[in-house]
Amino acid sequence: MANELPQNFEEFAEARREGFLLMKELKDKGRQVCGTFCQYTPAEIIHAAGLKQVGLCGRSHLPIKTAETRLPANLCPLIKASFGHVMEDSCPFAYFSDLVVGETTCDGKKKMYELMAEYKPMQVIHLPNVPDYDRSLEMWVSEVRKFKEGLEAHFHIRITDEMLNESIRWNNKLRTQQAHLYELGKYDPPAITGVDMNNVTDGFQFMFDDEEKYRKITRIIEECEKNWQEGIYPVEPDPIRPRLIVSGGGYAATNEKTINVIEELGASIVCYEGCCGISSLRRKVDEDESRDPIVRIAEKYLEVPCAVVSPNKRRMEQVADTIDEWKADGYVSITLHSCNPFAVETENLRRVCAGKGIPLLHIQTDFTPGDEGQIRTRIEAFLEMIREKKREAISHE
Amino acid sequence: MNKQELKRLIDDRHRAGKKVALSFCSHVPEEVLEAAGLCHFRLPYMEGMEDSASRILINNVCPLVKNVCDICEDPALSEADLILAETSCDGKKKMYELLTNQDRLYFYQVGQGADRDYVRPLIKSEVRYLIRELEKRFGIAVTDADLREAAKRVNEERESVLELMAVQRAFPPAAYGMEIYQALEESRTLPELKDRTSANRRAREAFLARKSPVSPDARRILLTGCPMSGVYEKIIHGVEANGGVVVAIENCEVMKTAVRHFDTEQENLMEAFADCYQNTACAIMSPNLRRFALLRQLAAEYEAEGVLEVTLQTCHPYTVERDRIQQLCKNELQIPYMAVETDMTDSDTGQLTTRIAAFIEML
Ligand code: SF4
Ligand code: SF4
Repeated sequence: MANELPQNFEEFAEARREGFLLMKELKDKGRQVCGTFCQYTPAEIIHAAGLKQVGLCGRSHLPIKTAETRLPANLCPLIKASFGHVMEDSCPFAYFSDLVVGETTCDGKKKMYELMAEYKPMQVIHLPNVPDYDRSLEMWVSEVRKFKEGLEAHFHIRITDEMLNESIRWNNKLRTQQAHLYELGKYDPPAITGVDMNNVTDGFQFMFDDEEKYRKITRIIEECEKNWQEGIYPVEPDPIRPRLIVSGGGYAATNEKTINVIEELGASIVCYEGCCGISSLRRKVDEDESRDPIVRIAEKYLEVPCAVVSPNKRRMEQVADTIDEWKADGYVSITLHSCNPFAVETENLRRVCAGKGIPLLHIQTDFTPGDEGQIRTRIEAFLEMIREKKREAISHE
Repeated sequence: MNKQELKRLIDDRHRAGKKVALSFCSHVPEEVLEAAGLCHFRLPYMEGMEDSASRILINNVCPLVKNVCDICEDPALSEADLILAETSCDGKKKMYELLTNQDRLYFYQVGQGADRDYVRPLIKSEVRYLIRELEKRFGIAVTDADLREAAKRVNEERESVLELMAVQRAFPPAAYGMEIYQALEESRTLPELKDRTSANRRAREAFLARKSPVSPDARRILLTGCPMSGVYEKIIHGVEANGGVVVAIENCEVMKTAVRHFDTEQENLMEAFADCYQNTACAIMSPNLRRFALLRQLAAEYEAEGVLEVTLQTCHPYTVERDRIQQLCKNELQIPYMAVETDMTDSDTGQLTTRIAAFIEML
């Protein structure tokens, strides 16, 4: 039976808003802040430097108008919103960032950073295009090292190997924990809803006390598991409830019309896939301290299965594995208008899904209201198709 | 060039015992393809392709990317032996991953900047990987001597393009931009480099031998922006039918590619590759300082009176870079600048022409 949720979910759902205040307190205490946009940012190095890291991806359509005075209209809303916030000084996180770190991920973003540098101190890390050890590790190590040196110069600090080693251990621990959170979705019915899972993984970016954050997530995981063992589920057991995997790029601001609707209409999002998907979380930074920590960090991040690299075979493997392990019945790819990497790559995901015999739904949207109805209808039809398949499968048993 | 012509060229080369490579971008080192004895085309926008893009790609992606997709999927061109899939813009590199015949592709890695420490080592190692791959695929050996000889031929071709364009420095320019563009369009479809070179030279001589048809009052326009094969016609026509003349074309198909020089005397060939290809003024580079330098140089050498930037709505690298190009023209070069956005269809010709005419009028 469905029952009340672990208490902490609310806190995570509100974390971004609360984060504004926390951040101000931190700044008042003299802490320095690094604003980031992307999973490629080597969190180990920022953490080792004693800096607080906060995500700056824009989520509101309001600053887009301002951004369009300098950026083309046909550009991903995330890029425009992030830039608009900086132009207007309307995002407290960007405002409080002592340094903004960007990566040459997609074309739009990397070119936008050139303009953003007029407003904020910036460091841009160049990514390899081909995620191949032989061909790209060397350049990537050089960029990661340059980033570390850049932080040292900007903040007048020294980041030692010991600091990096400790940070590596800590970040590995966080990854293990996050992977564990995803594992809750493997149960049938899942031990956590997809919306809550997302609230936690999204919210913890905006909580700045590491130890406390870790404890809270541990408690959530334990409670969910305990509840499940006792037969207390977040959703009613139902053999035809669709189990879905969701992935995509930059869609956090669209949750209300996408992932929330998916679960409201009776499906379960059992796992998320993407740059912080499960194989990426399972792939840790090597802890062998006899080796250069920068190289070890670079090795891990070279394997981030993001749509901005080509050919992105690792992601296709991750998709296939996630479908199998989470016993998914369907896959939803949510991409933003004008996003080439994720939207074009969705066709490849569709092929992987077809190979696994499951359907894929591609939702393209942006930050402005107006398409909720149409998205809802498409989700409804998609879920109905999956239910039909499951009903049939059951009747054949 | 249309697809039947290309098909005929491919078959023809095959009969002569040659392999054919197709590429779509200036970052691909032509010297290597040439040294490997391949017949290589850097294809322009091709008409008459069978549509595959609408099946494979999302709609809001660059028409050039769609065209490359169609070219690579078209059964008529399935005999081409190698396709260089360069990781330049997002749309293109992700599209390559979706093509049916992956065996025919080779992913050539392009860096994301020109001036970082990693860039030269990356160019060198990517060139080495490419050479090794061609040797393996085609069972050949590519020696340093081959590379030097090939590079000379590539250099000559580039110089022939520069010299052809240079006839426009005169007052009035020796030709209409349209004539230059058409001459280049024709020469690039010749299968051998040396033939392309001679065709460019012949065209140049013909222009110099006659009295310029261009009015001395024509306003001198520098074109820049996206790679535009496929839309040049309507743009250049818009300029030249309205009291302007195109004196220089900075775009990828023309000057961007041709200004690069490969030092064939350089002892270490890989250094020469790095020098040459680091100097690609492409918007994929962040920041793209070379393009600013190139525009400065061209504006001065060709005494441009206006800069016309043409972008495709779906091209993020160039449309985002537009802001800084505008600043350059306004604040530094102090040359009137106008940007227009277009696509591959003719539906906007009327409106474009009106805007271009107004711009030239203002000069
Ligand atoms: S959603 Fe796509 S276009 Fe937007 S920032 Fe992310 S990768 Fe770039
Ligand atoms: S503009 Fe850049 S990416 Fe585009 S074809 Fe030219 S060199 Fe290649």
